[in-house]
Amino acid sequence: MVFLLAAIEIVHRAHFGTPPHASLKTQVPVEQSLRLRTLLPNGATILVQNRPGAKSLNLDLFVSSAGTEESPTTNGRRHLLEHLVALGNHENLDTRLESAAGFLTARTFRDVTTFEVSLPPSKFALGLEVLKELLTPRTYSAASILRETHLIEEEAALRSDSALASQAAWSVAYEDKGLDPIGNPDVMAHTDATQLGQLFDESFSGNHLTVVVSGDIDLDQATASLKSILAVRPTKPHQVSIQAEPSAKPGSVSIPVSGQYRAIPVEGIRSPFTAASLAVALAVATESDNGEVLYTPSGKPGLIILGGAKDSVKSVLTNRSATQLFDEGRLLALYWISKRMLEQESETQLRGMLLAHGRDFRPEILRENLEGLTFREFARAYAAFRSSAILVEGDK
Amino acid sequence: MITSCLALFATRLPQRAMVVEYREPRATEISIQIMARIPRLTARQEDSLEALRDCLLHRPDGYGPKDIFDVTNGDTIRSQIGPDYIRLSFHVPSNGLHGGLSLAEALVQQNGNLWDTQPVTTAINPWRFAIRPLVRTRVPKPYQVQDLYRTLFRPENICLAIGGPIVPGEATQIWRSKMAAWSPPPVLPPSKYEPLPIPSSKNLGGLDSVEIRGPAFAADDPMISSRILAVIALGTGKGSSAFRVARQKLAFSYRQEGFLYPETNGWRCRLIFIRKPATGLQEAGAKLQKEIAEDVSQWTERDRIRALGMTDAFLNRGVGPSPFAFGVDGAVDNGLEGRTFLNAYWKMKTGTTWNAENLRLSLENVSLESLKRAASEIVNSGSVQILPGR
Repeated sequence: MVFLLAAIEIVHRAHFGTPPHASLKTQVPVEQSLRLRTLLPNGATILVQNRPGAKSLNLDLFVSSAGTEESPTTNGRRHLLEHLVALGNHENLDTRLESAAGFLTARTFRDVTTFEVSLPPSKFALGLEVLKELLTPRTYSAASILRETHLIEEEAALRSDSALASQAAWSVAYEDKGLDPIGNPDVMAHTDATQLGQLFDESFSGNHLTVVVSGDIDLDQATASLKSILAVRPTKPHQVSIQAEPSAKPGSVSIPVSGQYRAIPVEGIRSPFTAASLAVALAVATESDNGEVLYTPSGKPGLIILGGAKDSVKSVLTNRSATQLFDEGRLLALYWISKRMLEQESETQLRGMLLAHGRDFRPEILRENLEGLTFREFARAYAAFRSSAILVEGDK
Repeated sequence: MITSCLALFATRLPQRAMVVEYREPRATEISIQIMARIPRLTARQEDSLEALRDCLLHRPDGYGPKDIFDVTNGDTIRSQIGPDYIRLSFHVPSNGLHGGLSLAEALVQQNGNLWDTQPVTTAINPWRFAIRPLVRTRVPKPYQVQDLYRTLFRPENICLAIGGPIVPGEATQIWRSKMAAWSPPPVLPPSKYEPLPIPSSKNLGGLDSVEIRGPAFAADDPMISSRILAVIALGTGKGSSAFRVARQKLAFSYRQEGFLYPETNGWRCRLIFIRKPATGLQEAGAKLQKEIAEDVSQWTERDRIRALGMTDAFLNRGVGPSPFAFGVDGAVDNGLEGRTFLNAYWKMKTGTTWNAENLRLSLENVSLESLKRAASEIVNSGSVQILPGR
């Protein structure tokens, strides 16, 4: 089944300030809405947020992996492409940005690749140049591909125990559908420029792109500038499987890390169970020795992972009931999401990552689910962590 | 310009508990932080340091989990070790100063009920180990961790930092009255025969690390501005020499950074590179040193401008890596917590107020020649330290 994008442009404005008003005698400044979302005919999404007085301008590009999901034979190509794209023309994009007091961070997740640019407030024009450069196809030399493959191996060696445990849980739950986004070095080493060029054409097509800009900026002008850059990217309709998302499988695994981890599958952020699971995980982690929670908010099914020192999580789940943890968990989760929405950089990332999954995904959905969280749902998530979670045992 | 920088680096130790208020009227929360200075530790104390960090997160006397969240509105208490301090931090709502300070008081005056359990050991982070490569000789016993707690958390050794929408002077007054009532018994200094920590010959985090350890310089060094800018040009950001040479030219490492590490009377320039265990580490270290020296000799005005751009990014906006290795992993976060910390740390370390603008101006006046001279000295006279991961 081919998913065709309607050639329409939808604009959604979110008003939070005083509504625009006017006087017959004097012209008063019109207060802009704080946020403007625009969907382009080629499928690209633009979100511009006005943050008056902001010290930084964030311009983040999100490239959805929809349609370019990796298989064991392509695992690592998205990450390799991210490394190469981020280097820019002549491999000196970082130097040029840093000379203007800017900074670029690029990351590859399972569902999305992100290019996050932080700039001084007055440097929007530079941000547009960077965006244009990131979206321009290039040919990569064999030497560059080999070097970045080697560097990705080095990057993999630096991963923390919790990152390794997370990947182990994904492998148990989703097998080949939960491949490590960092990639397989063998696959990357045998990837050539043509394959990367094809991947660029598919993944950097209009319908896979989302740009979020946040700062002290005019919404309409910024949107118009971004449209002129994004609109030229072609649309590449991709095959969408009519079968449901892969369901997670239970199981356990032992790996050479410290601590113990429990993972439970959750649906996207729309599901009240996702909010409940996050609340349980945060409450238990707070009570555990070295407790931690790993979760990337997503519109797609995934895992919420709860880790801690050996036997610590188990002990909390045995000794503390859902009733005892409910208030604490709800409060912690609400704080967690509110904090991310309060800070400019994290809000920009969160909104972009969710928009890249679907045009209507917003962090407010998760917050609303937490505000309306029922004990029944919380108890269900608690039971899942207690008795049906995927177990990752550290044997270090 | 050098004079303004010199004042920033003078070390001063106050006699009573210090309070640093950092006002940010538009913030929606108040950041509360307690920092305890870490003096030169014995081997036994060093062994207990990380366990202390973890134990500090146990609930203080009189507080259940719900009590803490009532005070913090859902924030958790964080505990971190920096190069010369251990820090506890949390946020409270803008109207929660009194409750927050009571929680802070409880955290620094724990009576020890919660220290009976065996400290939990955590995985060794290879990057942090490369920065602080000291052998751990034994698993600390609970009473040893508690001894260290009582040594560090004393009115005269801690600094309270308050940041956010605060009323000037209010927190200082409350805290001083709390501290006035706290007179912990004296702690005997460790015996002079207590062994000191032993530098490790391996990176116990399991990865190879190479360091070009530049010379230390004192607070009144006349070249201080050039040295700071040189560290930024050498190792801060992805346009730095370390990145260009180690990562893009030699594909030696994924992570490499240069920073100023605090010493007793000043700072030391350090460039650290970390990679998977491999053979030929000694030769690789020598090659890195040679290639970076060669890179420095070819610096142009563009390198100076990039270093100044990075300076702007981290000083004005808290973006990107910082050459000041004050925070955990050498980074200071760019939120309210990071800004509050920076103001307090600087005051605690130097006795003066953090003035980013003065620092930026002093760096702007460094010429290319002076920059190259300072960087060459760091690289050429620096010693290459090798820590194999296996």
